[in-house]
Amino acid sequence: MRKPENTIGTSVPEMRSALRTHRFGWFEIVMLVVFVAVYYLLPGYLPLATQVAIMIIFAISLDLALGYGGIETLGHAVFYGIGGYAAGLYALHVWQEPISGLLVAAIAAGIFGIVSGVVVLRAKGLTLVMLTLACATMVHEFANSMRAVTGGDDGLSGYRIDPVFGLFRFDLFGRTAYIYSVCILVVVFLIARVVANSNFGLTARGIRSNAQRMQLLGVPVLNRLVLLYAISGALAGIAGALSAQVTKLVGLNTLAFTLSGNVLIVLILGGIGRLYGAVIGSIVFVVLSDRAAAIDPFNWLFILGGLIVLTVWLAPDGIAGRFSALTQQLRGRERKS
Amino acid sequence: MEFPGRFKHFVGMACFAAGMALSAEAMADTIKVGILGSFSGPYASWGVQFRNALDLYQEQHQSKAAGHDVELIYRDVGGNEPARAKQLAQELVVRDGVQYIIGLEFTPTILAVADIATEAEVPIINLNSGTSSVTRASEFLTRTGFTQWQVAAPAGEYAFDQGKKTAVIVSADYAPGKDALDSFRYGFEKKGGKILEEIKVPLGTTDFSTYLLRIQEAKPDVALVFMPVGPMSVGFLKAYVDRGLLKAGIDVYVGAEVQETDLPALGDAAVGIHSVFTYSPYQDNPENTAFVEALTKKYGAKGLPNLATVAAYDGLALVYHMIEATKGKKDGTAAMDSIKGLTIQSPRGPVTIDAKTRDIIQNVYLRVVEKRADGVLYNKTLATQEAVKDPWKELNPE
Repeated sequence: MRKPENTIGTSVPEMRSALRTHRFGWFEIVMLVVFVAVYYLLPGYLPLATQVAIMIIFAISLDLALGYGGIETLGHAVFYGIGGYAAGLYALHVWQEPISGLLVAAIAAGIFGIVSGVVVLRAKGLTLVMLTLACATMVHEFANSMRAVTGGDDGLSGYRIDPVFGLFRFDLFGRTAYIYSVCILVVVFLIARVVANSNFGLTARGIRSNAQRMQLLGVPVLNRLVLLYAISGALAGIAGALSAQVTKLVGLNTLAFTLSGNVLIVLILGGIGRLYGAVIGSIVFVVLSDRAAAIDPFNWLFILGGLIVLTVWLAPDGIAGRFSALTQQLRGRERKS
Repeated sequence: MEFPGRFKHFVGMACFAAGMALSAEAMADTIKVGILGSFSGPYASWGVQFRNALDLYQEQHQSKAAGHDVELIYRDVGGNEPARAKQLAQELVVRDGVQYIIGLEFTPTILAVADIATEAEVPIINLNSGTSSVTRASEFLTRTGFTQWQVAAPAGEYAFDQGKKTAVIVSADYAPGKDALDSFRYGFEKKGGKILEEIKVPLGTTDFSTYLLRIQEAKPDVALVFMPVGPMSVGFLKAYVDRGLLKAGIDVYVGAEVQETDLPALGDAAVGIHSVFTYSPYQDNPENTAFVEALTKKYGAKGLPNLATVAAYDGLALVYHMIEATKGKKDGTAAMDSIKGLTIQSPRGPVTIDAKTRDIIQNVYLRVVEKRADGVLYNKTLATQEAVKDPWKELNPE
């Protein structure tokens, strides 16, 4: 259960931790070191690491909507898929340059976020969950039936992607794809941080805690939520576009419920509402799935399921939540001594 | 040349050692073959059939081809996940150093790995995707399954030959369904038949009554049907029979929907359903008898094969042939050249890899579901069309 935050003011330690998020901490440094180390030490695992980076971007985007705005969605894959198809179609018909492809995808997904957000975000709770799910299902079916444009169930393929900056072509070893994805991840992470810590981000958190009160304070709640949803959608679109460019194929699975569900699991696993959770959750989920499947390709889902149950049991606030609880305990002990 | 006595032995020994070293070098290789498939999740039945066949083939050949050890590396794609398929294929090639890849069930997953085949010059054998154009995605792609056109176009022809003049086509509304629709129509109209109506059924439909009503009202001689194998195919065919359409004289023609592995789900309702397909485990030829016997001996009743099993078995046979042709060296081009035009005796009958298109040429059978005296449902072969090429490729030259 979430603890009520709409009592009088915010306590001092809570405020301190809110301010702390503005600074770059050890977490960012560790992550950067890990990403660089993976490149040099595990060259055989770069395609996997690329998938991890893409999943992190996707999970961060969901965290903005769900963790900061309290938008409960079961259809976030809709943005991922729209981004993917936008990038694929752009490469097929307009220009094969990758970075502009990402921008196009972000814009397409963002616009869809505004349009669908205006309709969907008037609802709350279960209704909202159902509406987001319905939205994703509709787009999925639309993509299935528009076979001439999307390739339907055969997938959208046959496009090329130019080298990044005209210099680095996407190679068999997945080096370019990895560095490219990680760079985009860094940019997305920074954008998400800025958004989360801006006045706008604080407003969103306010809305999550008590929308009625924010309304009474004069905040245009729906507008703010739609904007947040669109930003989140645009970032998810970037994740989908990256996948489209790296895989050189967009399938209907990018719009499917499984993906929406998976990213939610990732976020719950990592911890909601702190951005780091998205990073940790993605790494744990994707790497565990891959390793479990490599060890036993036939029964690995049992292993994965068991591990997820275990994690949720031992760390109900997610892995990142468990960590921050631990550090707070340590800090409290320091203060006492 | 005469060597002084005491050197004689030494030279002999040296020659022997050198010879050993040479032959050891030729022998020491382990050839790795990557297997990509759905071994978990809702599509795991594919993976089970692949694995049954591949493990059996390995056992029968002691995992040795041209003196080299052949090692299979299984990787689970877990369904229609193109991004994961590509990642796994990349890792198989780069990290595990596989020389060949076998597997994959879906068009998107096979298309996603086509680039890797081209770039790494690793031959990839597509076991199931029935989209005709797939093999054009890379010079290093071939197929041991079937194409939708290859079975559905003859189905249209056979239906007409059996005296059916008018037809309704029913297909699930997605890309493979569109292929089926086009190829049924092509085959049936080529002979002079008339299509009264095309009915598209959305994926995931469970109540078929409105569609069946439309068939009843159209009063065709025959219904040509394509449904994804699983709940939809079983649901539709059961409803079709329950509603009395078959009894009313509207015959139904399908393809993979009535494979023997899926017949138990249909039960007695299946009796009398026609199909045009490339394999039945009850087919009568020596290769098939030996194949089914070996499978059921190894896996029991669960070993009953279907086309996926045969495709995997033949796929590995092609790989063994390529290993022998290249003497185990990694040479994708030579390996591919060696199978172009190659004919092997498959349990489904003779199978040839088209030298030009790298696609499969195989017999196509017209069958009807019957019940044996011991209660087992099976497909009885009524007619055979030999060495059928993929019609789509003939109609759409590159």
